[in-house]
Amino acid sequence: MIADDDVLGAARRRSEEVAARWHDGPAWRGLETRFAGLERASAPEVARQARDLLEDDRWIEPLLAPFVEALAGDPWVEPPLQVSRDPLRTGAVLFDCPAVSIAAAVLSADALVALPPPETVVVPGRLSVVRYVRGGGARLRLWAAEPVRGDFSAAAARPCLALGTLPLGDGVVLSLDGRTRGHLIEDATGDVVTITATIRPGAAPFMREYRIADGRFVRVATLDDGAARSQMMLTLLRQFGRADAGDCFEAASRDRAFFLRWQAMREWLAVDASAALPRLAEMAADDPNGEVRAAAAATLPVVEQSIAARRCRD
Amino acid sequence: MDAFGIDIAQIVELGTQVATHGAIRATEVVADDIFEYVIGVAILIYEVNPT
Repeated sequence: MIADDDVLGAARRRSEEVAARWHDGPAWRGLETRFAGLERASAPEVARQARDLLEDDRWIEPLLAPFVEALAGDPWVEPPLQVSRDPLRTGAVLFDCPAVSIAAAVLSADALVALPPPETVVVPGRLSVVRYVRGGGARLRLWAAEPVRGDFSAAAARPCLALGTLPLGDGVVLSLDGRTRGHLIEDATGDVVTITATIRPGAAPFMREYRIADGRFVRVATLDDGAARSQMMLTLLRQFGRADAGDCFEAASRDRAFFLRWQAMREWLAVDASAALPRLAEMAADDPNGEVRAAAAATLPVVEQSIAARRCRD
Repeated sequence: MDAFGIDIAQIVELGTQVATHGAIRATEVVADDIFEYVIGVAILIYEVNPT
């Protein structure tokens, strides 16, 4: 079915009306009030609020009712929700604030069965509270990983340990500390429906992935959104050859994230080696991270030689 | 001496390679971070080229 401009225009107006009604409605306001001012609260405090909310699921139907009603009258109406769809999972973010993000998801049992068994488990780095609205006859398999700090080293990472499994009954509410626990859903005979509150305060700096077969560490990703954006911007500055952006490279080389500090130095050296050299020497001498110090120390003579050779040529 | 750069491929990387935000996705958690990241990229593109 392809709608014409008039139909889509009307649907857009209805979508805006529904979104406005939703934000002004008691269900959404209730969530806003519950988590107001908690962005600086501790993770357990926010988790307690999330658990109180998820122990009782009667708020969910009124929250979604305006969309169900609007879609029944017009299939082109678009609820103002961030939606994610793939063969395994359909999800939508129901509520989002600085303290918590609440998402609903349906995990397809058919897709789970069709997939090859997972080879890795993720330790997501954030505390979450999950209501299994439909457990789908599944089990939750759990692993324990060491706590992670900002100076995480892949070489020193200890393997994760299998902890066992939990049955997922309908209506079960679990607090999952993703800072030190990984989990996977297995053996589902029906679709698994979840409401997940992901707690923002107190998150670990990294998300980690481990091999299920032997628990060995596989890879790590930052949870620092600012550092990830800075990485992109620094690469962009290098690609544009911005030798005049020395202040940006210098500032990023002092970031709290060790991997960003070294990336800033690499990008800076690739743009203007002479300008970067004094800061490189500093990092080789006193960067708080051992890997960064070692990388800087190994790079320092190479850069000095390149600069000397360039001077001779000029 | 004009500014000159060293080939970035010749500069050592850290032993601990940290992937960018959103690069690892947990299976059954709706990855709101992915959304944030997509939005971040869109903002970046706009900032670089507002037209």
